[in-house]
Amino acid sequence: MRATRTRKVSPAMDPTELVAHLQRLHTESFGWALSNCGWDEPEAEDVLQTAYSRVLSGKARFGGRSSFRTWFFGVIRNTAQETARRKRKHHQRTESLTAAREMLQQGDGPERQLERAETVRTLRAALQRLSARQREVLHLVFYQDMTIAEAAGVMEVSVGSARTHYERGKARLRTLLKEEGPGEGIPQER
Amino acid sequence: MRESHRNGELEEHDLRELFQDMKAMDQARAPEFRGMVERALDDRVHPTGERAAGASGRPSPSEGWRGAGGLSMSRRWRRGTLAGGLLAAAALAGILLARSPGVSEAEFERVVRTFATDPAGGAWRSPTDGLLELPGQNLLSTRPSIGASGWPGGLPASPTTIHP
Repeated sequence: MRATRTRKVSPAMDPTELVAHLQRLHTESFGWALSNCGWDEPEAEDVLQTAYSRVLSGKARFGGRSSFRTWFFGVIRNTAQETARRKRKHHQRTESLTAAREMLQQGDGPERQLERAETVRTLRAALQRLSARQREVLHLVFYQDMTIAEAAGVMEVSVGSARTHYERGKARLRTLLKEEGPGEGIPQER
Repeated sequence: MRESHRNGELEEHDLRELFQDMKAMDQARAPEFRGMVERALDDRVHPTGERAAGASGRPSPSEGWRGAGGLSMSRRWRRGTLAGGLLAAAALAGILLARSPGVSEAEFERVVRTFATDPAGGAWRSPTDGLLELPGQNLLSTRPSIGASGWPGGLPASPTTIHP
């Protein structure tokens, strides 16, 4: 997995190679798009497809100054921000439907499934209360397994700034999760 | 000190675990890559700025058939019709402008002048024009020329010239 992330990609690549790289990152890219769209699934799909379109049409070109993943995550992030600016109205989140769907897709027993779905729902709610920068850096580090330096590259901020957002975001997230109480399936401080 | 360090580690571990749970759920919901790329390539061939329908190819729950820009289909249709009309008008204007240089301005003026002055070409003349013509009228409308007189042996002597 790590090898995929750190793979060196030539800036001048043919379309087949480009599609192969995009495919390799597809699920991670979708997760990143979801995070950028407040977990609004249709909007995340729109954003991701627009990002694909930009890359395949050559509107967004990989210059080789960072890893392909860092660059493409930047494209997704910018696309999501443009979409958010355009859209004044947010989609209604269908929390219960999503949770039920997620539960069905898991392989654990029903109780564990329910607990996991509820835990994730709580985590998402807590993340929504963080600043955009804090949410981004925590997602990139914990969800995408990036280093803080890589996350800084995607966020287009200095490493120092990313680290500050990371530390503050982590502390704030911890507080928010604690507020939810032990019955919510969130691991508590030990 | 040691305790807080241990707590910090556990906190990171727990957070990572939570995020990984979320990741597993998100990945199960990820749309099919092939379909998305095909639609993206479609966008490349027919770039419209905003897609006619959402990337998912289905109506979003709250907005019905809307694309990335959040425009309804009827609005897109009206916008498309307006753009089409403007395009047609521009094309017509272009054709007219392109054709006009074929008849040069000088040629046009020549035709108009001929038509206005040549009776054979249809120039209008009043039937009473002849009544206004006077005898010797050409002397009033022409200028005398100097140095080209019809006197034999040159100009006659001026009446003011004194001969001894």
